[in-house]
Parts: sequence; structure tokens; C-alpha cells
Amino acid sequence: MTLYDFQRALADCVADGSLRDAARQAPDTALAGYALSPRERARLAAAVAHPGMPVTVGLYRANRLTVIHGSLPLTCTLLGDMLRAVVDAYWAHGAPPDLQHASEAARFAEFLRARLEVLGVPWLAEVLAFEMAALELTLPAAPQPPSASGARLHPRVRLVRFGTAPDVLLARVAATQPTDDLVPAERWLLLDGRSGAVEARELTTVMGWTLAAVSAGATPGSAAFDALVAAGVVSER
Amino acid sequence: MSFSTGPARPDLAALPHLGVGVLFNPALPPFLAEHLDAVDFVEVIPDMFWEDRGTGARPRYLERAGLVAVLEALGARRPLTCHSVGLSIGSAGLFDEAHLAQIAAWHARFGFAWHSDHLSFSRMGVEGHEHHAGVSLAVPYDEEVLDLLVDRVRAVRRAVPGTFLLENNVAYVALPEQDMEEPAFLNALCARGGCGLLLDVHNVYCNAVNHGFDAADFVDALDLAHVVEVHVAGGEELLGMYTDAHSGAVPEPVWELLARVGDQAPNLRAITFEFHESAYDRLGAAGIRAQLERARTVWEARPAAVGSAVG
Repeated sequence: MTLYDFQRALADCVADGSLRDAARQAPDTALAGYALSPRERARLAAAVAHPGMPVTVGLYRANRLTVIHGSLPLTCTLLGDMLRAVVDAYWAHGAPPDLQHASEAARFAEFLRARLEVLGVPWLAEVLAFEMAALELTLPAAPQPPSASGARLHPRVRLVRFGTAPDVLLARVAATQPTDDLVPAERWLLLDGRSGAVEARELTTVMGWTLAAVSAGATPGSAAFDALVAAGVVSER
Repeated sequence: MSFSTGPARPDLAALPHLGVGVLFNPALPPFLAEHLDAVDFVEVIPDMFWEDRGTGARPRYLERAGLVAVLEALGARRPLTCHSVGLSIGSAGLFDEAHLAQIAAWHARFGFAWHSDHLSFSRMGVEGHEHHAGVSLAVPYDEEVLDLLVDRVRAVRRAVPGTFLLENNVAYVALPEQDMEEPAFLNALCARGGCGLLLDVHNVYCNAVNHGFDAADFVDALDLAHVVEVHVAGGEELLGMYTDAHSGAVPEPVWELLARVGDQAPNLRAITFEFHESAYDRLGAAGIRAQLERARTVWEARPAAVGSAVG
């Protein structure tokens, strides 16, 4: 059992700077929550003070950031100088169950969504939604659970609502150009992964609202709905 | 001391002589399309070809169809070896049999010459949940850990047919008061567990530079009859340490270590050049070819090759 706790303590010391500092100052107190043999406690005390620990911590941070940045590059760009503080706050919530790109991106996205107002970064909600939708469509299709009757979006399409012109916003963010002069306007982007590659195209307001209604579980009777069904974007059950 | 009975010992001498290969990364397909003649085999990290949805998910593994198609095309033209990063064989709190079943299925499907993983831990079972350490961490070279790993290696060999290799780790943090030196630990693990050794000589070089020992002495202390495959790579300085960054050309001392192993490892079957995809532009196609050709000079100079050429 102590080997298990030793490994847990070592990993925690790598991930948690405050635990690492505490273990450097007073290892017996800081590591009291782990069932360690005297040798393991001495090893951990040596490990946190070892010159190789900063490199190990750096690799830990790089590994975790690479997963997030690889999945959500525009979101990271938009966060700019805040990114470091945001990922620190995210990582302070504890170790992830895995480092799979999709699941780690989804956890980080959930963390950001809960803090959009506090962060106050213009267009963050849209860019994050766009990147998560695109990411989902690049993943292998998971089996779909049986759905209730009614209309639903094709599993390989996503709808993203923007508060400004999506093409301009995404191009500006990609080029790290200012976005504060963009004109607010409701716009809808359809991401279509049915062909294998992910294609984006802007929808009319009517089409956007119709798809949003379908996403919410409604089956609107309208010409727009019929057109979306005909295009295979929506299926009826 | 472990008392479990292991599967029959592997006959390393019967393994195919693969030659010189490269570890697949997403930047490689264009290179391989034009320079497939430069490699005798391709090593793949199977974990990058699927999305692992976690231990409770059904199905757990979803394949990335586009990448798998690349793998199938490669497999039709060159032998493949499997180098997983997902087992975390050193984890005291978990042993992932579903991962092994997935490796076994891919082993049968792609006919890997052998499969390997890393002598380290990165995953932990914590109160019914799993945590990822975010980085691969070395296990202490203690008798207790050896017993654990011997049983694990035998379990791997029961679950996945074919030869299993473990790769020696790079460790930036040195742990004091270990029961054994690393070479003695590796020798005992291979002898008792029945695995082969994937000797990463760049990892040895990193550890030697950072911890102040002689890398040649390390190699000489190994039972090189266990070595089936050697990894070579380049690294770079970070925060005062030399790191296994896979960032470019192989340093000269690592080539010297490779030659030392090549001279003395009777069951050496493959030399693999590793580089990170971000280093592709820096290396360029000519640079990658140069690394592979340098590795080939060692491959062709090893006594087994010279003996067969003369004989």
C-alpha cells in the first residue's frame, strides 16, 4: 500500500506547487496524509528539492498545456496573457482522469463556460463553442443512444451561434488581431462533418433559429425545417 | 519474492531482423511516401490511433479512421512494431487489462513484430477513480517494485501473444536509497519476467548527463542479450537539465552508445530513430535520412551482420 501512496504523493508534488513547497519546508507535516515508509518519505523530501524537479514540473505543465492548446488553439489565443492564470486555476482543481485530447478539452471547456462572466473575454463563448464543435466532429463517431421520437440534428453536424460575423472573428483571432471593433449581430454557423472533413457554412437567421429549435427538442413545422430535413442536416423519427 | 508462474521464456534469437526504422508521428507520412526506402520498418504508438474514452466507456476505444488507414497502408509495405504509452505498468494501484486486450487485438490485426511499453507510471487509481500524473514518472528500483513488475510482465505476456519489451526510463529526479542500480534492476526484470529490453540509449545519455554517471559503464552493466530494440533520439537543455525532447539530430555520444550496444547485443533486431513532429522542419527530409543512414552503418557493422556477410 505504501508504494501506491508514494506514487500518489510524488505525482501530487509534481502537479501542486503549494504541496511541493510545503514538502520542501516540512516534509513530515506536508506528507502526513500519505501512508509512507520512512524511506519513501525521505525520498519524497529529496525529490522535491532535487534540481530535476523543476524540469519534471515543466514537462508536466507542457504536457497538459499541449493537450489543451492542440484542441483549442483559438481559445488559448483569445485568452492571451490570461492563459497562464486560467490553466493554473483549472489545474488546481486536481489531476485529470486521463490526458486524452477530447476529454481534457471538454473538461477545460466546461471550466471556462462556468467562468465566462468572470473572465470577461469578448467572444470567448463563441470561439470556445466553435472549437469544441469542430473538435467533436474530428473525433470518431461514438454509437448514438436510441433517441426519443421527433426531429434531431444529424450526429455529424453542429450549430454554433455567434454574436458577430464568424469568419471575421475567427480570422482576427487566428491572426492575433484586435476584435474589439467587431459589430454585434446574431449569426449562425453550421459545422458539417458528414463527408469526413469538417466544413463550415453560415446559415440564414431563419435556418439558424430552426436548427436551434431542433437542438432544443422541438419539431418546428416550416419551410426552413423541411429544407433542413431534405438536406439531411435534420432527421425525423 | 514473486511465486507466480510465468509463460514460457521468449526466444529472442528467433525474432525477425528488422533493421533500421522510425517512430511514426503525424509529420511523417509525406516523408515516408517519398523515402520509404530509408526505413526497414515503422514503429507506431497505437494509442495515437484511437480515442480512449476511459475505463468505464462502452465502447472504450474509438478508432481514428483516417490515421488507421495510413497505418494499414504502411503495414502493407513495411513491418510494424507497436510501442504503447498507455499501460502505465509501474502503477501500484491499477493494472489495465482492457488496454492489454486492445493491444492484443491490434497485435493480431497488424501482425506487429513485437510490442513494447515504458518502465514507468503515469496513471493512478485513486478511491475508485483514475488520475493521470500528466508526466511519465520513474519507479524506484526496489525489490518490492521488481516483484510487482515481474508479475505484471508475466500478465502482459499471457494477455498479448508475441514478445514484450520494456523501455528504460529517463528520470530527471534521482531517488535516494534504492535497492538496486538501474542496470541490475533491468537485468533482473528481463530475466525473471521474461520480457526483452527496449534500450533507449538517449534516455541513458540523458540520465548520465544529468546525474553524473558514465553511460558506457551503464551499458556494460546490462545483460545485453535482453536487448531487442534500441531507440536513438536528440534532446535539448531545459532548466539546467538535458532533456529527452526528441527535438532533432542524435548527439555524437549517443551514436557511440549505439555502436557499443550493436557490438555486444546478440539479439538486437531493430534500431529506431525517434523525433517529435515539431522537429520535422528543423531536420528536413535530408536530415531524417542522414540519421537513418547513420543508424544503418551501426546496424550493418554489428557482428551478426558482418558474420553473415562473410559467411
